[in-house]
Amino acid sequence: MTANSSQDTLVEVKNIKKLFPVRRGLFTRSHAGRFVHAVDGVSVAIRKGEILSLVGESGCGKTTLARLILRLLAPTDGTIIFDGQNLFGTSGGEMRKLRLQMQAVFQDPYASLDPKKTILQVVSEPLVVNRLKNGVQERVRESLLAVGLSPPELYLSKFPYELSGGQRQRVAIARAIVINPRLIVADEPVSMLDVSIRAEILTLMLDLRQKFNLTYLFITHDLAVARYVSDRMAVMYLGKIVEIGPAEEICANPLHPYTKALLSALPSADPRARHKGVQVKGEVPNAIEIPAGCRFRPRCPHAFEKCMVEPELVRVGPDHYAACYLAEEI
Amino acid sequence: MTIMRLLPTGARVYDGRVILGGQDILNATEEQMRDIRWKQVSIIFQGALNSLNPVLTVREQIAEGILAHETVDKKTIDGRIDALFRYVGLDPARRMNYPHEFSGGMKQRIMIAMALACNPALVIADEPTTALDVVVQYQILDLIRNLREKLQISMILITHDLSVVAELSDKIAIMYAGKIVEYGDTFEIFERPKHPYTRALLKSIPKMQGAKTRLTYISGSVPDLTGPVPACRFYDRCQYAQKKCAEVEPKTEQVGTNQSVACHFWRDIEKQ
Repeated sequence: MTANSSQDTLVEVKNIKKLFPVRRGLFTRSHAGRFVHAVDGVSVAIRKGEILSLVGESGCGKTTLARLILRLLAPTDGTIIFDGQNLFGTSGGEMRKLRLQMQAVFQDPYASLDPKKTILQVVSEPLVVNRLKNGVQERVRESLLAVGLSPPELYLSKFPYELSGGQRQRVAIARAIVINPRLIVADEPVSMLDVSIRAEILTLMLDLRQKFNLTYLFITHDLAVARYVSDRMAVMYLGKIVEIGPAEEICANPLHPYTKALLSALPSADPRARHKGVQVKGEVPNAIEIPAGCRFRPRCPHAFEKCMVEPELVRVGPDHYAACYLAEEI
Repeated sequence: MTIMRLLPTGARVYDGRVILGGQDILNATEEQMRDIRWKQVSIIFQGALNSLNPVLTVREQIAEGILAHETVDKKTIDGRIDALFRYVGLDPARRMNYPHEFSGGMKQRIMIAMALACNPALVIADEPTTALDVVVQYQILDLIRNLREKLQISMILITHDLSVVAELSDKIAIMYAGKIVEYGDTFEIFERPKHPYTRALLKSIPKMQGAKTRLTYISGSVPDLTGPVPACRFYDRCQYAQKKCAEVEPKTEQVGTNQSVACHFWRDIEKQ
């Protein structure tokens, strides 16, 4: 977090906040000061060439953070620095250049591809939008080849409905890499896919990182998937990162009570390891009335007086940070 | 859906029987069927978020199922709903609320309460936790496990998530393209899978424990069932496939006391 030199950082998120006003009625514009605190003060650095996964339950702000990094949303507060340039301070041509360096892969390959476009049109779209007219066909072909859709000629004139879910997600990835981006934000790219296809897409994404020197922000709610693909893992709860560190380390030695709960709630794929989890009470509260102090306090089995003051992320091990007063004791 | 006789119009059962507690329910009249549904077999549907009626209170929706089978007065119904709510860990005082006032996990609990309303002998749970987050998923799995022990009901759990299977079931039937390719005791199947499909499936899931190994996957996709399919339906994607597999459909073979498998070559594969 703080220890990195800016040289090996690709994206630096600085205390970013995104609040969405809650309207009181269907026709009123007044929100009476009520906001959804989707992302509530997140600082994180994505290092060049790494796969950072963002895990957490639905509604914890993973996707909002991703959309902020892609500059699809404007933040309420805070900045994001992409390779030395402030994302929210640039406009027009400069921004277009920055956009060339980031691409997204979304969750649902049935919804993210335009059904009326051929695969050639779908994959070439980033080139067309960015007015890169040279050798479009060739680049699309290379891209399809890279994601394992070969021979590419077979796919160019097909429509998305002619492809299986796994193939569609490959097309979505081909579209993302066709302009040689540096960062790919993948929002739950395998959650809609069947188990056997999941492994296929994950393996592909790992191979592509090697081949094209990519950096990934990988959003998932599935901890086993996060462990498999990522170098580092950030656990989000109610708009905040509560723990971040090397993926392997977090899975083996989680320090925040929420991470522990999340890990122990995971059904293991081994019938002999049944029944061992510690149960957390209740569900994630809504992000409108954020609990005072530590956000996890109402559900935390270890909460005590001090937790009324919100804990900051502190170093708890090599490259490992957690936002809990008891991180080292529990 | 065949068991519940809820197949869409146009779909027909060509052959075979479904026997529930000694009765062939495929021959039952629609009237008899209405009696069986919910009273003997009930379903917990996948999308709890979409399978409740948004304009009725949850009390009305649960009562609907009970009233279809029994003539009971309001007080008895309320008493039963209260008991059901307590069973599934909900506050009985909330029975007059509408579905949108509950969270996803609570809606799934309501679905479970509903399925149990008439004390069925068999509950079919169709992907009961797929739409839920891990922590809530854990709570629901725990609830299902406890209720099953307490109420002694049989369950068919339909899921694509092998870890949910490992967590909950006694026996597993692995289906591929409309056929059961392997069936047996959960431990047997997880520890000694026989069918190539089961073996590949188990290798394709990322694990939380142990060393990180590269995942293997099954290339290709499930055959299109509208056209002709190879004799063994897994033929195209099977790494052990031989000529025989395209020509002769493998019979289901008994392996030991608790397991059966439909593959010509499972013995050879196991030796490798």
